[in-house]
Amino acid sequence: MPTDPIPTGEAVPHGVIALDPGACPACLVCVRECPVWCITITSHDEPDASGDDRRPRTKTLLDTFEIDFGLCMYCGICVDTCPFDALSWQPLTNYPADLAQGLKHGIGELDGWRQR
Amino acid sequence: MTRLSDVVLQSVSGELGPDAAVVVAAEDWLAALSSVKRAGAIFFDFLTGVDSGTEFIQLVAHVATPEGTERLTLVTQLTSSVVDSATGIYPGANWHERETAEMFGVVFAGHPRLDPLLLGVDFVGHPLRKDFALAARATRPWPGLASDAEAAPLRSGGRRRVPPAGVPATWEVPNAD
Amino acid sequence: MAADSLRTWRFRTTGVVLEVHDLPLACCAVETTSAFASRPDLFEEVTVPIANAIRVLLVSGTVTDRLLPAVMEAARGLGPDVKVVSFGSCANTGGPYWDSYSVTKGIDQFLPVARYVPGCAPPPEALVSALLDLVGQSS
Ligand code: SF4
Ligand code: SF4
Ligand code: SF4
Repeated sequence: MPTDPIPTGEAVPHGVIALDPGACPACLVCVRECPVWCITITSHDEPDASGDDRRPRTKTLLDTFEIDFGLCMYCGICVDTCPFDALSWQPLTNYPADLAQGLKHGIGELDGWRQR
Repeated sequence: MTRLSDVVLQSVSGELGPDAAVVVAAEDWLAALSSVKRAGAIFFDFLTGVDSGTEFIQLVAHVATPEGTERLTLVTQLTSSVVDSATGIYPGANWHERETAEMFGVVFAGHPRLDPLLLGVDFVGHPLRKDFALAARATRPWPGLASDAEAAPLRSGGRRRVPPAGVPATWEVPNAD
Repeated sequence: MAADSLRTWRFRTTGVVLEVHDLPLACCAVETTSAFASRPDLFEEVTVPIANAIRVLLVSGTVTDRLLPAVMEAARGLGPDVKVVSFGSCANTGGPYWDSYSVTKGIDQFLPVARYVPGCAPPPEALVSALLDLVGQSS
């Protein structure tokens, strides 16, 4: 992870949004609430062991999760509305890109930005 | 009720609307404005349009006495897209009417120069009308559909055309081919 | 708009000098101004062109279709080698105004952009990062 030239500490509210993919069942709440439509998710359903023949159950598993930080307005609505606390603000501010596409970040980066 | 609303209601027929606004008929618009100006409301604050979904636009004007002791909101529901310009009464209405013309498509007859104020001359449409489709919303697929199965009818233009949040059903839905 | 009417800053780090022309258009400009003011070790305001400096046009804020010609003119005035830094979501893609009838949906449709700085608004330190990055790229 690149380091900031100025120490930012914890007081930077608009740094970056991180994702805990293990906590996210792809419920799409954040995607639907985002005012600028900058989150995209793909997922698939799998049979869930808690079901049986009479009552089969499925669970939704997250495949991809992408935030386009070129478009994001850093409003925090996704962080606030996530019912599973899977999203969090992180202090990183140093992630400029030389291509507009370079501001789209997937699970790898979003997870890596999490403070553990 | 302010003295100004009395003045209007004595000179033209109208009624007191919400928030003490005086609602007058479109043909009495100028008569109402000149009556309040004669009564001392020489400060022209603003004029704009409201698209409340009816066929024609509503006009709203706000005037006041220079000391600000009395103020009045005048409202009229237009019955066509043309209305007489108020610039003969309040020269300050000039830019407000230009903006209302470009944003809502209202034609102010007798306006000295009804050019666009904020939009470019090549801009097509009246963006503050409810039926103005925002191209970005109409062309970008909404990311909030749960699965491809849910998205398929949207894309194929089938019967279940689910418009994304904030997109009126009457707008063109993307990828409908 | 003449490019020399923009406020201009010398950004100096080891071995490299940038001539940063500030084009502040909306709320993002609060953050760029704060970057200039908070890092006097890096930024110094200048009024005459700096010889052999890399010229940077810093577009911070909302570009509307009506304003776009002025932004283009500013870029042209700085010559063909100018590096454009797009600062903030508005300049990057339209950002909060992505569906607006009047806002340009990303200046990169009209100008080659060397660095995109994410944020709404990006904090001052993000500008410093982006300029340091740019130096790494062009030195
Ligand atoms: S911060 Fe706001 S704009 Fe950014 S992803 Fe979350 S909801 Fe969308
Ligand atoms: S709201 Fe939270 S749990 Fe639901 S999809 Fe978004 S990040 Fe995942
Ligand atoms: S990106 Fe956000 S802070 Fe910057 S100009 Fe646009 S709205 Fe303002």
